[in-house]
Amino acid sequence: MTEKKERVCLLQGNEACVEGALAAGVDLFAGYPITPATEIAELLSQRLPERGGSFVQMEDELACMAAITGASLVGAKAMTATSGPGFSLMQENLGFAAMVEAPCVIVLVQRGGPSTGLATLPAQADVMQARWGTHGDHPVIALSPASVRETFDLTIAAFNYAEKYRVPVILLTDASIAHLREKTILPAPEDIQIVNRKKPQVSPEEYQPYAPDADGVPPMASFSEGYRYYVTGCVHNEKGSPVLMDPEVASRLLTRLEDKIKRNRQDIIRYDTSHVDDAEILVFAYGSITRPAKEAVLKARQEGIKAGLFRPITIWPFPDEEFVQALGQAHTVIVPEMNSGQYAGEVARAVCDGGKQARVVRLLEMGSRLIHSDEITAKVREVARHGK
Amino acid sequence: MTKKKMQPVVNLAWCKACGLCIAFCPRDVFTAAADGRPLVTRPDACIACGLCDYRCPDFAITLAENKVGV
Amino acid sequence: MANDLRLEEYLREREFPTMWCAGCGHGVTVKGTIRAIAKMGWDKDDVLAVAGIGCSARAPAYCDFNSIQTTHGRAIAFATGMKMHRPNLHTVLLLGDGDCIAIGGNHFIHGAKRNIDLTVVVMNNSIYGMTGGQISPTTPHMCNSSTTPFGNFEEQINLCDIAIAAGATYVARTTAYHVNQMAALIEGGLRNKGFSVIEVVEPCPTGFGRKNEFKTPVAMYEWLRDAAISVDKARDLSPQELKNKIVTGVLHQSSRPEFITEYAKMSKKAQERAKSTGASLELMPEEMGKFPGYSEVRLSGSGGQGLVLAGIMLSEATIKQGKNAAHLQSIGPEARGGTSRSEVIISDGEIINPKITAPHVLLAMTQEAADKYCSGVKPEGIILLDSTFVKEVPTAAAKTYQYPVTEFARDTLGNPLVANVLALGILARLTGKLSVNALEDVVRKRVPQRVRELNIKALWAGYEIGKDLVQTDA
Repeated sequence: MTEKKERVCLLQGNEACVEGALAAGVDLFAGYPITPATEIAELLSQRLPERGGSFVQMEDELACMAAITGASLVGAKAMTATSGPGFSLMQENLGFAAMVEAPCVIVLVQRGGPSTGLATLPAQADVMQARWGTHGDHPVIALSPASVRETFDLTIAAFNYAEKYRVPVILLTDASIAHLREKTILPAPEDIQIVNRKKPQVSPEEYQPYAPDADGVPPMASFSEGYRYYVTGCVHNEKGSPVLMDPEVASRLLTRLEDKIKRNRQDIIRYDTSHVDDAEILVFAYGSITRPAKEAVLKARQEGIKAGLFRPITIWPFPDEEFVQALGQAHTVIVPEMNSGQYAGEVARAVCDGGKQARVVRLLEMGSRLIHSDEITAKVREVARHGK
Repeated sequence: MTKKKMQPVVNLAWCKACGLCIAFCPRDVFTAAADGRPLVTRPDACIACGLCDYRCPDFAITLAENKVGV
Repeated sequence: MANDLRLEEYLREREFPTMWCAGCGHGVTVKGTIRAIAKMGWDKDDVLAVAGIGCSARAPAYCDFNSIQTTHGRAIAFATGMKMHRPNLHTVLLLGDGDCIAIGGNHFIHGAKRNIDLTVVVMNNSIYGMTGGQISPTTPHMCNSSTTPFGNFEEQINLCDIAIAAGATYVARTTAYHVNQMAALIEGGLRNKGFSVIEVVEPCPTGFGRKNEFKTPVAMYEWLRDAAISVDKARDLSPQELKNKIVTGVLHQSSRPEFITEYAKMSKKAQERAKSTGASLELMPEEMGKFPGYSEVRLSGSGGQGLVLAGIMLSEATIKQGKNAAHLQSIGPEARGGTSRSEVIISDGEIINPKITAPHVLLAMTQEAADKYCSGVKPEGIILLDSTFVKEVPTAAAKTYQYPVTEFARDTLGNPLVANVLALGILARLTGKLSVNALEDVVRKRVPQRVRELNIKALWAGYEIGKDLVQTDA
């Protein structure tokens, strides 16, 4: 009899991402070397051929995104990994993947920017690029882990969401999580839930590649399975034919692409809270800043300050309802982030849209230094002193 | 006795009147109508070489069997 | 013989009539491609037609294959991913000249370099047609376009030469006039197991012809008919005589390993060799509880001293002892040299926020590291300085030990690279909290076979040195 076995190991963030991808069933990885994401490519260059999967180092990141999107359309679970400069190059084909509804996973290990920036140091300044990097309105899901174990879990979740909703999913990590090693207990394989894209239930003659089911997601026939159809980045109708001068068709398609995320947000939104029930001050942190934020909240509580923590795990779509509920009667939200306030702006919008009055206080780091818990604690104390 | 005889058939809905079939037919099977589209005016001259079909950018010409008494 | 192949079966009729202008060469080339594919006798389900952007991009829409219009210039990159995952798909690319060799030039070169089994049909009409007739890389010298109002002063690119230089194994050229040669040459490309390029020189009556004194589509086809010269005849002509000629036929054919085939061979070997990654750690219950509470360890020096690996091994050893551990590394952008910092947090409980505030243990293997970090160590902590490099001992509240770690590794053990493991052995004894047996297990797992025994020797040598240091101190 075989025993269910968890694995105890010391794992790096990037290694956990690889383990997660393999657990999720990745078939193909296309990569291009870039700090601080390179370990993912290096590891998969060994692990994928060992299990009959495909690894290819492409000529640039434009090609990486193209290769994984192509592979996805012929049935592969496909992934790439990069950092800011490479992610900029991927935007063109990321939009294509969103338009043709090709499931795929892009790991974005953020580093200091803009341009070459600070190659080895962490940042969170690609939050908005992850949402709006490619041109045009498009659906996207982005997940942001705060630990090595969570990097493993969310890599699997990224594949599952990609397959379920036929969207590109971005795993948004940063140099500090990617290079952090932690004692990690990986779940037994039989405890991991895997989702695969749904296939058409009709004959090739009846199949309309872009006719959605009730959930807004069209069943996906892979090329080579007898369902010959046409895929295009042009606005297209349910048959897949380009329709270039019909506002009705365009509006129907683009609305559906957004709606398939919106109407399934309950399934997609992940978040975490602590001490929010009676919180007067809410610290809103994500990714690697979650951990100093958590420490700061614990310290504030020890000092008798009613502080709480809200942490979005799903960064996009923004968890409006969940955040507003956690906000409760809090008078202030403190947003520590390693950028010029990209996500804080979104927090302020959500406060306003939620009909709340809370003040949004930004605690920003522009020099790629991890925000220290003491800085967050100091800000919490300062806000507590001044009250509303 | 009948013999299989092929001759060009033009799909006027797809034809854009570029004139290639008319200009390059080795047997002058076509003549141009007023709108420039080809008319098959000498079907008997056709040797079924297929060049009009292959050169038609609009997929508008096919060679079809025409049973002609000999 | 004509129409033995029922070409209409290969058309996606609902997409017709085509969007192309009267006399456009694209339709002619698509037909030539379909003829070649039909000749191969392939099932349509096994054929993949890929295009980029531009007038050419609509080509796959008209063919009843697995058809895709990708983004501008990227078709070869898309096809690379598709072909890798489904090598059974016969993959044909229908690209425009700008698509192929301007915006897609890098992918074209790398497709050829890989010799991946793709057949690239370049529909070269020497112009950007869809946007209204701007010059492309293949526009001939001094021709007119809508972005060269004074004539094109640039020389045209020869994309077949580039394909050959980059490693394509089948390269041919024809024109849209020479329809039978075209079908035969494309068929040759389909038969070649490797990267095949068939350049079809085409007319663009609207974007190119009207600006360059070709009054009608027919005039453009007459030009193609008259400018073409076979590769055999061209061999005897001078460059001057070949000016304004289009050399047609098979320009290059060679045999070279094909990418997908080679990958499959490599993968097969890797699968045979694959063994468990050994990522998991067996806990050593008898060692548990030796490292109480919470400790921070900082290993510092320069890149290349093996400090990151030392930190990893230290972390793994403590995990084996039932502890929680986190490892942080900070290295500069240099591959070697520069500053390097490798830090380990060891805790009985959850590590909420992995960060170093004031380390309990410091190893400094450069003067710079010693100067920077000694004063930050907790007063009750321990410092080990590698006196090979640290000549001036900074003032510090913590207990400070000195030993020429690198010198001993180099001179006594015969390899300076084991200084990191030697230092771990010393620290195991100095701290008195770290199981040297757990460390030995980890070293065995982490260090390559050829230096494994030397590293284990270094570990135990370090442990003995640590004993001496403690005794001398007492």
